[in-house]
Amino acid sequence: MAPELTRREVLRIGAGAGLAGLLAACGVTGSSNTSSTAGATGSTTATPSTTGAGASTRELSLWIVDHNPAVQAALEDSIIPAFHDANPGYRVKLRFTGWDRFAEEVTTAFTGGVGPDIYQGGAVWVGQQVDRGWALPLSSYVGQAPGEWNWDDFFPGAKEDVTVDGEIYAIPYRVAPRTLWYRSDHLEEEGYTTPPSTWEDLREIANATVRREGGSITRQGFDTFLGGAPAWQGEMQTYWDFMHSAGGQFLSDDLSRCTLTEDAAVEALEFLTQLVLEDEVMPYPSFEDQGELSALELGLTAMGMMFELPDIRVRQYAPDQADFVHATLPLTHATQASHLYVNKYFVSSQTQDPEGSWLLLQHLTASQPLEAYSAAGGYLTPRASLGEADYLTENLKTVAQAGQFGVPYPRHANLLEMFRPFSENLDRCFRGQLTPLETMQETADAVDALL
Amino acid sequence: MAHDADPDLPHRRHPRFTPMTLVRLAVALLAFMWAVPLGWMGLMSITPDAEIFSSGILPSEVSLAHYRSAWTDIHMLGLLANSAIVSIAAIAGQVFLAAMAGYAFARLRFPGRNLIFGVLLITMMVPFEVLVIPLFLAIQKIPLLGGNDLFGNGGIGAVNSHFGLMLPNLITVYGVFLFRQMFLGFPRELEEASIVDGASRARFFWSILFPNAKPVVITMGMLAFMWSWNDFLWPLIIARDSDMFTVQIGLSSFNEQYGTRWGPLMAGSVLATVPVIGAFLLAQRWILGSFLRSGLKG
Amino acid sequence: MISPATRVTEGGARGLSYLHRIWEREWFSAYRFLLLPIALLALIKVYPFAYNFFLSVTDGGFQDEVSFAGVEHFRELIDDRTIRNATFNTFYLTALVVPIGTAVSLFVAVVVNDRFRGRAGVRLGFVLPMVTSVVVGAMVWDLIYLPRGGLLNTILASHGTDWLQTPDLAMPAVALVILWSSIGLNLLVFLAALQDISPDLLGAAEIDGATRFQQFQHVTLPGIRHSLLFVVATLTITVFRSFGVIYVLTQGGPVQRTNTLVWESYLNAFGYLRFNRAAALSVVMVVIILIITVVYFRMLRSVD
Repeated sequence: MAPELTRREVLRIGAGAGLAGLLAACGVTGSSNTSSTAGATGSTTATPSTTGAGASTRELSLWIVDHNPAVQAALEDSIIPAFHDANPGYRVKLRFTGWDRFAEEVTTAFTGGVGPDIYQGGAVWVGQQVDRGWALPLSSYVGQAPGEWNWDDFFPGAKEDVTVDGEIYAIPYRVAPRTLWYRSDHLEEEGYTTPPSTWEDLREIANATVRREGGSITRQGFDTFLGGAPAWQGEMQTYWDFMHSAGGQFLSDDLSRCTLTEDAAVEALEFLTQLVLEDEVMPYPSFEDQGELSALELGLTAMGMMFELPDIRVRQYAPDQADFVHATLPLTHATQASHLYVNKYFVSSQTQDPEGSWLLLQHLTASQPLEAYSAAGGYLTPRASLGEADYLTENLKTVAQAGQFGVPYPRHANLLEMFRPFSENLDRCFRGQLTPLETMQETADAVDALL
Repeated sequence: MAHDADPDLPHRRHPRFTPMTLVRLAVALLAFMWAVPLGWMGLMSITPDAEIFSSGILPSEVSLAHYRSAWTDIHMLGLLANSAIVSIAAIAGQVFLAAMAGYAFARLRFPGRNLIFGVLLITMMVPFEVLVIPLFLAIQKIPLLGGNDLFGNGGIGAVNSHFGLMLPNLITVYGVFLFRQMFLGFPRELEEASIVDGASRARFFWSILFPNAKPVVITMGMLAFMWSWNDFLWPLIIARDSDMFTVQIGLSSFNEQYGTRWGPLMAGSVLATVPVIGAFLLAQRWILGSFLRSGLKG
Repeated sequence: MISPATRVTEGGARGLSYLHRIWEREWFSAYRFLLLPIALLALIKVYPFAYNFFLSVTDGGFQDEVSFAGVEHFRELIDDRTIRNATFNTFYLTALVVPIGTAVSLFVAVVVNDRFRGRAGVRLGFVLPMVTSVVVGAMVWDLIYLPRGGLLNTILASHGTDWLQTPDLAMPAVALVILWSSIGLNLLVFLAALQDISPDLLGAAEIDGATRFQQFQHVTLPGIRHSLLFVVATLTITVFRSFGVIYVLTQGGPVQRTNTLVWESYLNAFGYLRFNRAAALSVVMVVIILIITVVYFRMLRSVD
């Protein structure tokens, strides 16, 4: 018959398991207080193991998402200790996390009221954070910052990106300006020694450098999508560059309607579709990445728009191609402009210590600490004065310079949602299913519905 | 090779290759194809970086570098330990709690029985992703934990703790459902007899019913372990510090901003999957074993 | 009722026996058994579910002010083209996975039910994928689907086809991954059901001259009808709730072709921070699943 399990035995087992669970629950509750870094992500306090905090020590929590081991070391070993030295009475609790889970973490933290004091945020975040009321207004703090901190040192586009209705809600710490990249070897083959500076130049060179064999393209003259972004956004990224340089806008200044149907915006799309569908300088979709490398580093396209990524990729994964991959300043059409991605620090509106949080934020974005942080990560800063910093390669210096011409996203809370019909319609446009004007009209209708 | 069925039936002589053999071969091939992704995972975990994207299938040399990376880069030991703690608690929770509830719903009459069960069934239909934020709130507001006062305010409750990690996996409606199904199938006479003999219901449950439900208990235990071990979204949200991360979260950190480190990712995945496969095989053997020992068909 | 064998002492006997009477009352027993499980379930399932429903009919919530919104969010959902698209995609995915998944697992179950050499290995091959986590499984398939160097393209010699980024191929690619991981469980369900089919019935049919296929049609199929409906229903619910695969592989793309109701709900909550809308969407999902379940029960009853 079935083995007898007496009640006593069962209780004992159950108690044992329950006790184990209880011990686990009470005992270990997360945050380490030693300065040990646990691999790629983790949480540490930057102060070496101190014996108990004084009653007046105030803790500030800082969530960092742009990092690598060198950055972590820079923060823990020099940047944060420097802050502690200059501001005794504060203790910074660092937390490193990743972009892939950052949205979930921030959202749940804030809805639960247990958010950090200062946190990094990405390109479309300002509109959302302000709309939700999670970002603390910072204009008054900026106004009172010491002279050498210098708000005017920041690129105009970067400053614009963090300002809503005249109020500053975040401080940029990193920018990724988009600009034109080209392969000098492809251009030289066709006798071009300088890269294009206008749309017409671009078109001319693209048509000259494209290679076809038996009716299909074997080497692109221009690539509208070199990766490095969520794939679903596709060609939209490059479109923004051309829209800016045509003087067009996605939304009206008061964010009340979609202005894609205006001439400048349509013109930008017409130019791109002409390149793709008439001149056929690239297939659609364009050549995809292979492993870490995009078509540019692989030598499969002569030109393309991108932020600083090609330089990093080519040096790390294809150093033999490094001599041929170059950046140049953005193209000029109605104006010289391209898109600017801005990453910024927010102060939480739920913080218990706004003054302390601002002090830390001010420190992190001051010239020297910011340079240390960016050098460790290979990031470009939003400060014009750091455009020639030593850690930058030639290409990166060019891209940094492009930051002056960078135009950021409009500060609307529903941007991500609006991008979706836009990228869908762009896809249909590049497949020849919609004319540029139709694309813009349909998109404007969809976007207006979301406003 | 004859019928597995009634030995009284006349044996039919089977020719060597019947259409059935072909079908079996086809199915075996399909099974092989089904297991291929797992094999690919193992293969990629020992393929050097340069060859992962090549069109070949076999690597030219076997490299264990990925395992070394996976082990150290994300502190695998800690991850495995956390997953283990949480999953073992899940086994205990699901097996005992779900069984208790299942018995109550199956055998005991009480007011509101059908209503409560119905409500529970409906909650089963909602995807977990949807419940995540309110659940996080609830966990964060548990009184007297993590710095919270009596009303659950002020601190972080069970957030970022092993307890918070294991909480949603301690019992599932599916488990209650399963045990209820099982207990419904038990003969009532057994229970009535033991009550007449003077046993309390509790004693009946623990001494007689529960031990006889071995196959379901083991199955449930294995499922509980599996669900908890494989859980991704909840640990992502509730664990803040890396020393609370579970294995699945650790793996996701190989998806870096501009690319994925496939080699260590595959190696880490192998390390993460082996315990679950082990648990599964063990459970299979125990279930079969309990069949043999108890003489039940199951 | 009271156990006559309860041993009590005189004196306090009457009081104790009264307590004992209550203790052994059936409903009290039930509550004893249910206390801990239900308390836990209330916390981790019922409360979030109720809060979610609350969010769907209000504006605000969590740390913000709350105001009643009635069916406002639901009305918005009906008008939204993206939602209609997501609903279509969800049903499309279901249509891809459920028939094939049910048929294949049934077919394999029938074949594997007979004893033959290697049968355990075959069963294991199908069941192992079920044991891997959704994330691990999806990441392996991500590798397999790579345009260059991915296993699928190598085998099919379709070098360069980007399965996950080609609009028409993306959903089938997702469907394949879900099929891959779900066949195992359904196979086990069918196997268990097949065990219950009396071999006498099969034997009798065979003697009557029925072919294997006819045996299947007239004996096996009716015999496992409960499990058949169970598999169809649970597989449908699984597909509806499927999140991890899309999260890892396509994130709803390309151009929204793999955007399902669950994904849309997740995006609304964590991407756009529109919690009330996300909640409303999930309520819609529950309603759809409820309808499916009711249909399933009806069919079950009609077939009995």
